[in-house]
Amino acid sequence: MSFDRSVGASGAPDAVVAVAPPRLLRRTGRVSVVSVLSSLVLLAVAVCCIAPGLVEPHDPGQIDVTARFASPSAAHVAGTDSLGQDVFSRVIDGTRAAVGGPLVIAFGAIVIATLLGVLMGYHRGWLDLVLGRAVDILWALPGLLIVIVMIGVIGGGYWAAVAVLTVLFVPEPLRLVRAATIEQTVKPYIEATRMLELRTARVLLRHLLPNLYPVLVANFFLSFTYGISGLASLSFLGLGDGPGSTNWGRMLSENRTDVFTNPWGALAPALAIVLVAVAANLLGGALYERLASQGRAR
Amino acid sequence: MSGAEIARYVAKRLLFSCVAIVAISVVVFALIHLTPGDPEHAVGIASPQNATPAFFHQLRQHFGLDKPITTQLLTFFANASHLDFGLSYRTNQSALSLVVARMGVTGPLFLLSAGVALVCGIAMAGAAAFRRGDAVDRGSQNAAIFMLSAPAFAVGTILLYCFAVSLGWFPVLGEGTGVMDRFWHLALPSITLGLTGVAVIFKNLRSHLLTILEQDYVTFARSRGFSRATLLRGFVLRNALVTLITTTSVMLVGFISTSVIVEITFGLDGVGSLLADSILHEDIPVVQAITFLLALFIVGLNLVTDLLYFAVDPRIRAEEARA
Repeated sequence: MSFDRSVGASGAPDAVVAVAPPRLLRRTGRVSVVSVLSSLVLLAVAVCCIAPGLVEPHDPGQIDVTARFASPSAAHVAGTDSLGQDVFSRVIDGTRAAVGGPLVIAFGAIVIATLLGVLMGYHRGWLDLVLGRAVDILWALPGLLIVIVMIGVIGGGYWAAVAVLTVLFVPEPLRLVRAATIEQTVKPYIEATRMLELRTARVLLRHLLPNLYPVLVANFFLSFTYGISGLASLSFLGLGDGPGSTNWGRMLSENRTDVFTNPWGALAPALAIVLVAVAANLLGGALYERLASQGRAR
Repeated sequence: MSGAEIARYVAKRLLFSCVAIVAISVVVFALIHLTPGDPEHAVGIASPQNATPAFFHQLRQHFGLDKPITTQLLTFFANASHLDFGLSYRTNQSALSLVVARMGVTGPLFLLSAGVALVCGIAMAGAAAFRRGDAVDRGSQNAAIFMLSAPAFAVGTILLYCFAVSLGWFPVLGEGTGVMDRFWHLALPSITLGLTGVAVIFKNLRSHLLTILEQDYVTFARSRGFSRATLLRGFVLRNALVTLITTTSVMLVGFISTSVIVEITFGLDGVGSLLADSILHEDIPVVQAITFLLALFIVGLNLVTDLLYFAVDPRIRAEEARA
């Protein structure tokens, strides 16, 4: 239980360890169906990312013009597209592009937001004022539109989009981290660290940061979800990966015109995006509630 | 609160809007130089027929491309001040007229979507807040998470397949002719775009309604035996109005991005799809015209929002008078 590191002034660590097992048991008994399903979806996603070859029934790039627009069958679970490629295998193949970038976006945005947010909330002063204004302005802009125009006009493709989205996703977690830091700074345990004359870095990393975990975890999943949606939207518009890639947004836009012959060519990637994005967001919410109530129970 | 104070507040907001517009103009101006290669190259990509010496001459003339960059910026300001963005690389028509022609689709789309979002969002938030913690509340929270995380083009495609292709209740693509037919064609796009707004309204309004319902004056009003409807009208909704105004403006800004996706998904010829098309064809004057007009829209929206606060909430008026 990483949370107990922050106990510091408020309780003896021994006592916490002693009550931990029964509490942990009680907690595992309260897992909701929604969280279990979300975790299973994300587990499947992880498998598809790490070893797509194991799960794909066919080679995603194998073209077979004799088997164009096949309806779903045992051989082709979601049918085939205009080139006779297996839609299901292509969806699995696209998982890496669908969640790889968003993982980088979420991680990057949270790290930047935490660094700046904690400094802003702990020290206040001019840094807080200047960055606060910058965040206000970023906040008021239509983020996705900026990415569309920037990537479209300047170019750069997938990873440039990842970089721009990372910066655009900083304001939301930054505000929350800053507010949470301010909320924690007035608590007695931080005052105690001041009295003990601990170094600021130690106070922030060892004592304050663990109390921000619920906010950080929740926002990681939120940024991840928005990242999936944003990157897929870009590739849907033709601004991400090149033609013929298995990127879900791209697949959907290319197979849309064949919606009457094999609707699954467009429906499968659409359902995949919705499923993954919703699962990540639901799991993030559930984890937040769990971590936050853990903090309160202490 | 005197008339002079109101005038001072409005003047302050207007000044801020002007600064914002100048800042945005600089960014929009930079677009022509951010494109890889020179403008002639972009014209070649946009439309080979237009890559003629005569077109290049008017292009250089209009943007002052041979002059120093500061002069170019001033030329851009002068042109933008009367909404002149030059000729489209692709069609040789004025960029502004192309955009204005598309507003007939995007305008109604925004209005209908905002209607869908406000009606559903307020109803859901109200129901969830009054029945905090029970199945209605939890169900609508999960629904909001769904609407917030699923990208519009995926939801749009699924709706399109279910209700237009399979069931045939709605037309598949395009915007139709005649008032009723156009309305019918906009139904699914408006629902798709509106759903993203429902989530925004629901999330913010629900949490604000909960804090209002916990206030002493609401408890007191309840104990006096007012009906739920009176309670809502007299004590809760008026206080929630400020949140509703803010969220509506946030939602409309969000619509700008999402409408690009929705218009392409449903094959609507609106401003958003024109923007995406122009970007793919490097038709920079049209991109500049659209981004500038959208920026004006956002600045105007923020101005109206600020002024509405002022009209709606006496507490903000009092605060401004003190400041």
